[in-house]
Amino acid sequence: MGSVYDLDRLIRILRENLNLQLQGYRYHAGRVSWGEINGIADLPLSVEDYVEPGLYRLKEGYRFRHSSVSPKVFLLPSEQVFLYESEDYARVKAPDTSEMRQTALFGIKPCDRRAIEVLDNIIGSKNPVYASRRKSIAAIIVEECLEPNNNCFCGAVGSGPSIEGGFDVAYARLDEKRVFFKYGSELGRDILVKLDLKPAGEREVNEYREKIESTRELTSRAFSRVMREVQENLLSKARDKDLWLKVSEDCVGCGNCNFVCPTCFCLEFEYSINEQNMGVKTAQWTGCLLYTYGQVAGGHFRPELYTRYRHFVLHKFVFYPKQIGLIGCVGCGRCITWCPMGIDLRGSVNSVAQGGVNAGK
Amino acid sequence: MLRVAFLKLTSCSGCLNQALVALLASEDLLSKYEVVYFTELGTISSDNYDLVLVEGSVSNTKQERELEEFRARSKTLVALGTCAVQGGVQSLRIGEDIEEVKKTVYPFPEKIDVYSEPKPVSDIVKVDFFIQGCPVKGEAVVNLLRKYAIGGLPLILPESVCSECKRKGLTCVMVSQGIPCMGPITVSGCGALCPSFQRGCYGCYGLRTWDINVFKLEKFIDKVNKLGAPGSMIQTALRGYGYKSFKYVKGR
Amino acid sequence: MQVSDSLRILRSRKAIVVRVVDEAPAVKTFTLRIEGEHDIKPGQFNMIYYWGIGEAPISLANLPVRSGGSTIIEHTVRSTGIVTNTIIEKARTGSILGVRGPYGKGWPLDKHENMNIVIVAGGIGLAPLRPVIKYIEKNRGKYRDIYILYGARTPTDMLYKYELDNYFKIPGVKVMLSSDVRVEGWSHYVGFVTDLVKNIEVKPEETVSYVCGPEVMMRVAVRRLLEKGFRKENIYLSLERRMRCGIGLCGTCQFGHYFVCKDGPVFPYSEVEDYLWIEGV
Repeated sequence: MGSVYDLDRLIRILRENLNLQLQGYRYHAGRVSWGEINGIADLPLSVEDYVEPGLYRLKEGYRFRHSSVSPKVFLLPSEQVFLYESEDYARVKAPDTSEMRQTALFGIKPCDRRAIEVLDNIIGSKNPVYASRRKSIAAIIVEECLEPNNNCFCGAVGSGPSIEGGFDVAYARLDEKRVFFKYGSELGRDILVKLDLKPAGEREVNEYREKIESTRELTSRAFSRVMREVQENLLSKARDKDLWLKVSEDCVGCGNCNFVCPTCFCLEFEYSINEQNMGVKTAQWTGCLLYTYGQVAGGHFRPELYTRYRHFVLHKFVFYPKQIGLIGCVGCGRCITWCPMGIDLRGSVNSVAQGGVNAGK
Repeated sequence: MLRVAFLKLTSCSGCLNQALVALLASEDLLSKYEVVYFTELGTISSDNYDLVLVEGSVSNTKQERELEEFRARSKTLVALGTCAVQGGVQSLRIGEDIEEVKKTVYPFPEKIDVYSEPKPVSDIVKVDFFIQGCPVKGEAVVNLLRKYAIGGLPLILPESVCSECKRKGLTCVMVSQGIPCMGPITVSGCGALCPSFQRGCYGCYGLRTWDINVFKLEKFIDKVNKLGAPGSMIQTALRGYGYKSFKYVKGR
Repeated sequence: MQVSDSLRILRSRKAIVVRVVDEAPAVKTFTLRIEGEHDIKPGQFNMIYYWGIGEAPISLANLPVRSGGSTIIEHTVRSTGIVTNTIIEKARTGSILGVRGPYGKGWPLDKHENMNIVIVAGGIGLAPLRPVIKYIEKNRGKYRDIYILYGARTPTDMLYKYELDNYFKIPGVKVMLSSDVRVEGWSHYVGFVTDLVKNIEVKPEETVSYVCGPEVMMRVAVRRLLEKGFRKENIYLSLERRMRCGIGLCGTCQFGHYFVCKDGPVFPYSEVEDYLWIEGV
């Protein structure tokens, strides 16, 4: 049991004793982005996100849940350079990643942690950029949320609000000052020993448990059916074009949902020539909502927008489980918050799962 | 050496300047290209060209002839910038009395020979490649010139401005501040310039013609209207910068 | 160590164009020589790189040949986009192209020994099946009756016209050709190649079919083959999607839950029947 000031000490232990660079949600100039955490002043400790579908406001408070970034921006950067090749292929160069510093992810959420698990399984070592960044992660510090925002539904997909494994230290803010710590590994235990906190009392443990359970309850209501039925219905209704047209009627194909999604990993390869006359192979984020998704030279397999919106939904809930055995949606609600048209994924899933009742609402 | 011509029609020279500066700043390209025609420099060579970059919209029949002549003498013709690609801000006069417009702008309106509806370059001649932008980005021109020098053209990746916003890690001005932004329905390529200065996109690269139909357009306009978008902003985006694609979308 | 990962995964090998054959309007076959081994199987593909311009997934169009310290492979390219246009227009004998691969799962020829094989190809779809024909010709004893059903929009659009006659001469091989459009001097069938399926005489339970062509044509072929009594798991299709990486990292070739580049491009119909009939899945 500790206080927010112990977070500062935790940061210092990770940086100084373990010699790690810290990456996480960084508060700066009125916004929360992704970046390096050097001290408690960088953490979003005194802000709170208020969200609705298509709306985000950062206010005073102490319950920061999400912004538009996620650990994806670190692990799978939006622009990646793979290779430089000369015209005769005699000279070849890859970007040097040997200086990739050992890193601790700090303050990521349980849903973010699940997202990394999804990325590990779907990309793993296939992408050299992802592989080197993933390998650099030496510690994972998770913040559990004890109160969800309006668009959170981690409980419904089983990715939160509590974390049971795959982390070193987890903490949760019982209130503005008091912080509840737990460890999830040997390393985490050693870190907490160094922090030398006083053990939590029964009252505090109960308080933590109650808040976790109330958060679980609040984030588990997203879907009107159990997940297995949701998945079955999504697949069986895949060919109902009218239904999907209705569900996607507000979508303009801007791709924001893809870019903010912590598990969307699709990349567009690009080829250029640099000033040294080397051919450069690069990649950048793309997504299934963008027009090029499914386009081939001389044709297009998904020219209609509804088919791409449908792929977004089906991939998360039906195809990911077939590919890697995990639901690809982690319930963070970012796609709902950052959709400029305010399309609610939960509503889309429910409309289809229920067979078109209140479609799109 | 490849022979390149820069042809200016009705426009502000912004794109040509971007293109010229980008070319001059790239040493590797200077050894591959020879500028043999540049409207504003007056250096006229009536030879054949490998590549013609055309800036501006077509405003009268004299320009039509000029354009046709350049097309006939070039292997590859590129429409450079929103005016050449879509018609550009000049399109805002469409629907107005052209004589009135002339009087408002020029002291001797009778000397101005323009038709009422400016035309994009592709209305007159075959265009091999389009670079959108108001003005175009120098990088896009350099990319074209480097690829053209080895016998190819760039791949076109049609996207929204949001794609560039998110890749840059910018926070959406529309969702987080309620600022009306045309980004979601606008062609990418600018590098999300306005949103990176906390301003909404006003659509200068033109309206996306893919995925947007009248129905979606109305839904989106309704959205930005609710955020208090000034009518002039929407007018400029749709009828000015994106006139050709607006016509196309309305026609669907 | 990570540096070598990038090199290992995405590096293109230098290939020299040693021969270019005009096949049909905007279609050419390139014979490439690559130093060292390149172990590519029928139905697999390479990413062919026009340096600085881009890569395109192109399937193997003939059996690879080892020659001295090099491997000779063939790829048939149709000009449909920026990359293939550039390859068609610029690549000549002596030109250099980049080759990355082999990728994907090919036709399971080993699994189908002692069976009849019905090849159904439409247009450029013959290219990935040509190495199958060559393989069968070389290993004729391993397979039973062979049918080659090949059609194109017009006879001019057909590939490998210079060797189609040879296919008729392979023992135990029946060739049926079709042209969608009636053309003077055409002595073969006029209509869709899929119509020819009804003319084959084989026991479906002892027969597999390899199909490649435009997706609409493959769907019709599947229907005809199923009507004929073919088992779902004995009909193989070579699918096309937007393939950029070739190894399942970029995600843009997804078809249902499959990555066409690594789970395909050749799929048994039984694996894709849930998706094949849904528009844009």
